[in-house]
Amino acid sequence: MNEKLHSFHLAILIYLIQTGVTLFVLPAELAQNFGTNGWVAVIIGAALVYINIFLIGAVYRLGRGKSFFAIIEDGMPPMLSYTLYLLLTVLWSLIGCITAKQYIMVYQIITFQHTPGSLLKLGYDVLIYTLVIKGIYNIAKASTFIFSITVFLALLFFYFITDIELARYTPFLFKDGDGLLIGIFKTYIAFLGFELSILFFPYINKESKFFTSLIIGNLITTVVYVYTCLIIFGVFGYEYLKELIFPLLDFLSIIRLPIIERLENLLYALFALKVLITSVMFYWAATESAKRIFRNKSDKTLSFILIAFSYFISLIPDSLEQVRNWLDFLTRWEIGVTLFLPVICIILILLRSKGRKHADGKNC
Amino acid sequence: MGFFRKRYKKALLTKENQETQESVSLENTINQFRECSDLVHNALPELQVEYLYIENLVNEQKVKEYLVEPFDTIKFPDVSLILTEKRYKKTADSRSLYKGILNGEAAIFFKDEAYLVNLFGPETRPVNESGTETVITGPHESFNESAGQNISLLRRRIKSSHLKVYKVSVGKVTLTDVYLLYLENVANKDFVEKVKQRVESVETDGIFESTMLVQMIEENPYSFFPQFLTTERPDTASSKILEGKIVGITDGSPSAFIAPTSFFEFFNSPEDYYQRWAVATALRILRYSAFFITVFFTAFYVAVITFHYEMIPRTLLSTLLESRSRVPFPPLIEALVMEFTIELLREAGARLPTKIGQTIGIVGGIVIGQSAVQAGFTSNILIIAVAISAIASFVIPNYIMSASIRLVRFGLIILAGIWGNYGIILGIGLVLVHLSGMTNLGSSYLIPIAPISTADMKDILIRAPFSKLKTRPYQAQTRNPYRQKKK
Repeated sequence: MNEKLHSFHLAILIYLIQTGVTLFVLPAELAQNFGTNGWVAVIIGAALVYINIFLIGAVYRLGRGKSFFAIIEDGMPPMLSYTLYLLLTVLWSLIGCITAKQYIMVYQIITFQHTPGSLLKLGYDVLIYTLVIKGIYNIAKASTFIFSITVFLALLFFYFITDIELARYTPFLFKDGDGLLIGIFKTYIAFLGFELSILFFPYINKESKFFTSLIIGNLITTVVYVYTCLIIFGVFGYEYLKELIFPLLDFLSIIRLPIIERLENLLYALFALKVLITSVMFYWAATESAKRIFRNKSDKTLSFILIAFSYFISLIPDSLEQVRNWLDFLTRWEIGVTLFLPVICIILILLRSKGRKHADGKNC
Repeated sequence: MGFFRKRYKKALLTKENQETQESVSLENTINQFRECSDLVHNALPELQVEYLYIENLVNEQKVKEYLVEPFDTIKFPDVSLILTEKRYKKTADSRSLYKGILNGEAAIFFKDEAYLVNLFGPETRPVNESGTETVITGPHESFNESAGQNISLLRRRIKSSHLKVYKVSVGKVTLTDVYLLYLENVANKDFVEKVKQRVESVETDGIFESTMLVQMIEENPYSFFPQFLTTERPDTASSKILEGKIVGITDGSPSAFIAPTSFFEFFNSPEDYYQRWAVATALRILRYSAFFITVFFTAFYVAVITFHYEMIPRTLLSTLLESRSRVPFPPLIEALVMEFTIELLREAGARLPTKIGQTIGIVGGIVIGQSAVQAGFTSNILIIAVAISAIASFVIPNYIMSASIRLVRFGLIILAGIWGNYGIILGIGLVLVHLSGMTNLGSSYLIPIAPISTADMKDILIRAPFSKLKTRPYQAQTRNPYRQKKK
């Protein structure tokens, strides 16, 4: 365990866990829920995430770098902690799996209508497994490489600069939307993934600048979301956006280069690498959690079991609508987890330090 | 099975010990080298001296100077006086005596004592131009098969007493000398120790090439990719020593290996440093583009033609359709057959003498280029794609890396034929996962991208002006990171 996560890798990792297929649907959801200038809501979502990040930062500081599992096991009875681990293992492995399933199903709609999705998913799961078993440090290395490949996609958006019409932004804010509250909830979901950073404590040191890296990682996601949504709102306008399911795909399909056009297929395929990091990190977190229950099993075995188990579960939803419902359900639980884990950790740390002070006082 | 293996090992060890315990005597030595027709045995009865050496390993001049002349002119009592000279080394160990003879020394027997004198000096290939790493500007010398000669080429370039040369013998039968060169005040001590330890721990009957040795000491033996940079050029090897890396020279091999190495170093050419920085940077970008073309071009062609016709602009579509209309095979088979043929031509061209190699190129070019298209066996566009991929693969300066990349390309073509763009991306993912897990002496194979090292980017992705290249590479973990005076 000599290798520690570098602050740059940590920021990139956070960004890559957060972004995925969400980017393809986010502009449409913003338009539906917020109406005019819905892209501004991304900033509200990001601000809420920062509150959560502060909580995780507080756990790191109060616990003096003590691992999440150690905090839980020191303060909770074993039965309770094992139940929590079991819940987290199931939840995280299902999120990792259904995220990948969602990606595959969208790809199936674009290109492989007649290829069994289960087969495509199996190929993807093999890739996931090979990366999960490499451990967090190598996942971070792979994510840096993936970042360097995908960051250039942002440059492609300059293709649309001339298509932006300022009138499409309208002078109104959040008019003609279906519901602010549900909109904020959905925008917050688009940022999920950062909460896994609570498991990073044993893999970081002072040089990792944990808190700053989390903030920068979330900032990159915010900038990417705002930048993408801003351009798409400017090109399509909010009314048209409401009618679309995957606006980013329609957006990319407009690109025509001299020797190639309809780039959405290739670019969406490239997104497989981004989604890979999201899925891999959720599986990694699930494996870490499962390791606390089944201590004598190796990481490889646990990851294999989790991926295989969730693969079979992923065969149940057989339409994109069902997959979205599953994801909605799982992400609701995940929102609970993002709030619950840091709060419970802080409480346990405070109780323990209070108990220690009390014991010290008695000894005196 | 384990029991028998243990007994066999024990028997071998006992045999080895017996060899060591053998007393140093002329009879034993002659017996050891029985049926070796190249063993010269001379006796000078009046001096009570007998000597043995292997005639193909010695230099005639040295034989005359150290054996014939000294013993020709003296009388019996003076023999012991001559043998006190420094070059005659007394030995009481039969194993070192046999090893000495095999290393080109003469064994001199006088009374009951044995002495060794170094006569080594077989004919070696002169220093020539490198066949695989040619440059237009810059030195043209390359290593040859003599380790001594190769070390002298490095010593002539680095005139520093800090340049250390550590010798290890590898191979139980071949006893090949491997020399590890490094700058004591710059190289990372842990890395030096690791390389020494790994080379010393190689247990095999023999090695003949540096590229063979590195496969025995690397951390990922099942990987497609080379993990140690190898070079035939003394200027490259010296520059790596200055960077704080360790260079290994194997006797009998014209290539030196360098450790630690990153993936990106395989795309650098020594000429990058002899050209102007802007030209060198452009060349590096060209090489990385060549890498992408080699890996993806044919695979992408297969993916587009099989699954994603919508990606082809209308103006190009008619040309493509026309070109493919007579081809009876699916794009995947068509591409694999063509890539296979190109590999056949390349391999045939590489193995045959230059003149016949050219003929193969012309015959291959005409047969494949013209006839295959006319026969409706393949399409024009695919020939262009395959040819461009093949040419691009030769732009990569390191032949071993280029060969590995060509192999990976086949995997991507197959995946593209099965799942189109998705297959290609899955393939990239697998390669990426594999590369990110690879290490060289414990340091990442993907430095300077992962982990990130912005200072190294200036000499990996581009070649910045020398005034900006002040530090040694991060990967070398050197004790002395600055190579230029800090301002």
